[in-house]
Amino acid sequence: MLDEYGNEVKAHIKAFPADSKALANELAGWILHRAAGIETAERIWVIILSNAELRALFPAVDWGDADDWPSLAVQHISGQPVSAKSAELWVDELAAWHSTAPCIAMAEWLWEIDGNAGNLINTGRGEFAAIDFADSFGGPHWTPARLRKNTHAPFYNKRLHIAWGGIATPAQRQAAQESAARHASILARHWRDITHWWDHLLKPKQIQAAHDFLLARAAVNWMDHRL
Amino acid sequence: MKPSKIADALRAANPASKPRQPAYTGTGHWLYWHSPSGEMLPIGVAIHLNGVTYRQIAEHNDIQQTVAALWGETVAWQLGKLLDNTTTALYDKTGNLPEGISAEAIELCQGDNPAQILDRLWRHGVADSLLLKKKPPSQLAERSISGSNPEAVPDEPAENTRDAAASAVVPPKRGGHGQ
Repeated sequence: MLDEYGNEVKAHIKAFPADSKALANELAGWILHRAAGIETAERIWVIILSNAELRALFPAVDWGDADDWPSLAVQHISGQPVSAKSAELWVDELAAWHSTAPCIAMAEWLWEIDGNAGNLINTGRGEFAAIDFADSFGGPHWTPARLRKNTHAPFYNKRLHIAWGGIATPAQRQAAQESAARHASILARHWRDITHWWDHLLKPKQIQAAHDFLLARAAVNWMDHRL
Repeated sequence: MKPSKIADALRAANPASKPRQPAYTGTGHWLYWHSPSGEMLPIGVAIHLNGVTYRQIAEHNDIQQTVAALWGETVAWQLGKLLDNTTTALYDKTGNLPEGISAEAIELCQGDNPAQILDRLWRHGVADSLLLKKKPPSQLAERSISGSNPEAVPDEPAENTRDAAASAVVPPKRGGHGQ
C-alpha cells in the first residue's frame, strides 16, 4: 500500500467484525508497546476499506452492507515468527533479549491473552518484535463489567511461558517489576494518544473502564504479586 | 456504532487523511516454482485487470546460474522450460500451469495503472526470491501483456490517482507515526 506520503510500504491488513474491539485493542497495544520501548511494527495505520475491498480480501466473512470499514494496516517486520522454528533455536536468545522482561510485564498489564510464539518475530541477531495486540484486555469482546471483575484476576501469560518457561527467576521477576514501574507514567503520557482514536471507536463508559483497568494494574508493586 | 459512522468520525478527526481512488482494481496470482529440495520459490506474478492478464516472469538467464549452483545444470535447464511453459499457460487462458509451478491467489490489487501494480508486486514479492534477490528487477524479468483486450495497455500514471488500501486515514500530527 501507499503510506500518507505516497511511499510504498509492505503492510499487513487486518479487518475486524463490527462487534469486536480488536481495532481499539490493536491501537492501544501498539501505542503502549512503543512507549515502553518494546520492538514492534515501526508504523501502523487506520485505513478505511470499502465493502468491495473487504469482500475481496476476506471473502469468508459476512461484512454486511456497510460502505466503509475502519481497518488496520501494520507495517511488515522482516523476520520469522519464533513458532516457525524449533524452540531450541531461539529460546536462549529470547531469554537474553533486552525487551523480554518489558514484553512479559506489558502482557501482564494489558491482560494480553494471545502472546503466543506466532506473535513474536525473530528479526535476527538476538532481536525480536512483538505483534498482534487484538487480544489485549482479555480479548476483543471485553466489556466494562468484565474488566472490573478481572482487574486483579490471574491469567495465562503466554509470553511468560514462551520466554521464561512459565516461572520467573528472582532476577527475571525483578526485571519485570522494574519494567512495570514505568507503566503508570507511560499511561499518563500516552493516554491522549489512545483516546485520539478510542473516542471514535468506543463508548465513553468503555474508555473509562479501560483506563481504570490499566491504572489499577499500573499501581505501585502491583506486578510484585503477579509473576 | 456503525462502521461507516466510525469511518466518518475518524476522517473528521484526522483531516490529513487522504482518500485513495485507484484507477485499476483486480486480482492476481503469485507464481511459485517447487524446487527439488522442497521450497516454493517465487518466479513471477500475474494480475488480472478488466479482463486482461499482465504478467512478469523471471528471465531464465537471470536465475540459471543460481539454480545450477544449487541444484545442478539439469534442473536449471528444466526450469528454463518450465518458465517458457508458464508464460505460454498464462498467455493461453485455457492452459494449465505446468507441473512444478503453482499459483497463490492475490485477492486484491490496486493502482494507477497495470504496469505500476505489476512492478510493485514484483519488487515487494518476487524480487525477494532466493533466485533473484541480488539483482535489480529491471534486469530480471520479461514483461508482457496478454488477454482479450490488448488495446487496454496502460497509459502513463495519472497524477493524483492513488494506490491500494483505499482511503487511508493517517495520523493528524505525527507524520509516519501510525497512531
